[in-house]
Amino acid sequence: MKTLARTLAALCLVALGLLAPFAIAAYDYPVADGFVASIVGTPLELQAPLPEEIPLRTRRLPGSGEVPGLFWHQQGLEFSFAKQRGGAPVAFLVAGTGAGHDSAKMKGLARALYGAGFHVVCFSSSTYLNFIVNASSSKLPGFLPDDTRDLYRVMEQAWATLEDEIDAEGFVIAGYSLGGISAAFLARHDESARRFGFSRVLMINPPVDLYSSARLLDSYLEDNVSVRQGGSFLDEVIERIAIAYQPKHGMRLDEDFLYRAYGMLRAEGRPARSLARNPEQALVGLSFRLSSSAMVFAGDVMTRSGYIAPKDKAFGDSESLEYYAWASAQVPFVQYVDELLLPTVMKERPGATREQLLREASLHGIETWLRGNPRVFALSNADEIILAPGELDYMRSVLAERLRVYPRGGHCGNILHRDTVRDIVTVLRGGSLPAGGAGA
Amino acid sequence: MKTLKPIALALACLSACAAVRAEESAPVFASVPDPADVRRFYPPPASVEGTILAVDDPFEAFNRRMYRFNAQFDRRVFLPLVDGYRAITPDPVETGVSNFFANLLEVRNLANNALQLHPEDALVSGARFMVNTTLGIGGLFDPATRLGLIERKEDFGQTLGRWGVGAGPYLVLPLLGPSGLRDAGGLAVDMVANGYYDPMDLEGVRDDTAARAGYNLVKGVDARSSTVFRYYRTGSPFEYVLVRYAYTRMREVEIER
Repeated sequence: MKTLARTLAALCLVALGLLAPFAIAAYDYPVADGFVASIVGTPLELQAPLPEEIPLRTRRLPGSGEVPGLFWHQQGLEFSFAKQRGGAPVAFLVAGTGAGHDSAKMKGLARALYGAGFHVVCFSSSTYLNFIVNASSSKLPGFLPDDTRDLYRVMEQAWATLEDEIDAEGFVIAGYSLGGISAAFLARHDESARRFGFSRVLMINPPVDLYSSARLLDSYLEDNVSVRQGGSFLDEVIERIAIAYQPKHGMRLDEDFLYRAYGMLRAEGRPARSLARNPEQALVGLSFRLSSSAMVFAGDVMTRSGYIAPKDKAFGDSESLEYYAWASAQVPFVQYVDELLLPTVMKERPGATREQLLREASLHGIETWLRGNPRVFALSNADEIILAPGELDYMRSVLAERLRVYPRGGHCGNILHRDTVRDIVTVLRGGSLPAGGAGA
Repeated sequence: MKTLKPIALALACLSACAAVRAEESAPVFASVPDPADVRRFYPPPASVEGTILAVDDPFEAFNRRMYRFNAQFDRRVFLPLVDGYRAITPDPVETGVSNFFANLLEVRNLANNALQLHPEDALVSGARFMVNTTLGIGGLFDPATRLGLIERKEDFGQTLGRWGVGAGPYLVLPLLGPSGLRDAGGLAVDMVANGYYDPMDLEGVRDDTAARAGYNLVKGVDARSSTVFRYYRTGSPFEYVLVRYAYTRMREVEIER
């Protein structure tokens, strides 16, 4: 009996020993569906401990051109920053598609990096209304090489207002989603402009190719709800949101707001009675359409392209924009790229083909630089919803051990998870990602 | 409060007018471009029923102007005041001030819960008022919440809604922002009633113009300070439409609840 017990005990120990590495490596982000994860984010108890309040201040730079009366409220380009008391490295952060410098995800990242001792400077996406109006030279957002030059100029101007008051010990740059791929393009641009010398570059859940990601996001809406029903679907989402709504949550009706509100309802286990086959997929598509329609209309008005608004149209103070709100929501983002954006870019670049331009605006366009650059890192998820088949493997082949793929998290759903925040901080401090991470 | 009464009464009249406003079939969109002027013309749908544009808004031109005025007032006057107030006032004092004004509104909550035949909620509102006025030292503290008496906010607009009065056209009020004819009328009634039954009325405040102005200023700044909403922070050129829709739907759900 004794021997049996001893053998069993020994077996148990061996088993434990075998399992231990897995136990340590176990990834506890719980949401199994990539769409749900993108919406609900990380449960509080699994989030990295972040400072509650950081001294973020907003500043306005003079815009680069005249602001049409319709956008009077967007006068001046906004960015925000939080500075440490003494010397520290500076982290530049770039927001994702249609998001501002003060989006919820940006604030989360800013808190994480400020808490880790960085000075933090937050920049809006080049696709955000305030940026399009004040800083876009083409006024048509979405072509990455052009957007990069605009963002870079904004970074230089912003830094010119900060350099006397911030004691900088080097620079790093990071961004999520579209801001992630922007960060890489910006760092590459900086190598010739030689202004900052970013010692680390981090892409968090970047697309490989904005066009292919946009096609996916467009399809999430169109496959689930007809455009006609899009409104009713939003109606239903809002109705559910209203049940859980508290004035303290504000009312921005942007992606972060929709996602958070929808997440709260899911958490309460409210029954779904949805028009959409997959309501989470539809919500992701819908929130992308809300921000892309803003982009399409703003770009059209700013360039006087006569796309959906007449060229010479002067919008009065009290004019109804209902038709334009409705019409620009009918435009899939890829249609805008094909019909308005690329033809405009081609005018500047006669001879360039559509394929050539789309390639230039993707990670493929900077592949050699990415391969040969040990300072560039990326984080992504196995169930990332903005990557087409093969794109994750492509990133693996290009970045190898400089890419970590978490098993779950969807698109940025795990961005505040302790593992993600630890990896973000480690990489930006000059460390490397845990071994084997790329395989997960 | 006396000076506000004429405005309040005017709002109440407007609200009554809403009921008799004739239903006419207007075009779906107030302004549509000429198809020849644009590269992509989307013929307007026959109806916007079931979309975020399905909000009755015959005063859109006025409302948009008012929205813009409010945003400018916010930026130039209101928010600087709020920032100044927050900077010079210690947090516990701010909370105390907020509690004080919230406590005064318990009388409104009590009345409207009673009018909606929600006796339990009315009792909670009454109990909250008594507890916070006594134990909470005139309403500066909120011990009632800690005792499990959660605020049951109800206003006269909701009471009207409960008894079948429709929302009426959307209306953007000066300084107060998104509302509707019914809710504006409700607000007017609440304000007039509050003027008569102001439970904490201090004789001196009522007679002294300067003191009354100061009291109303603090009240307004406190109200703005505890409202998270900021104009033009959606990053959308269609913010007016989004806010109009969100306000209207949320209000409907509050009333159904």
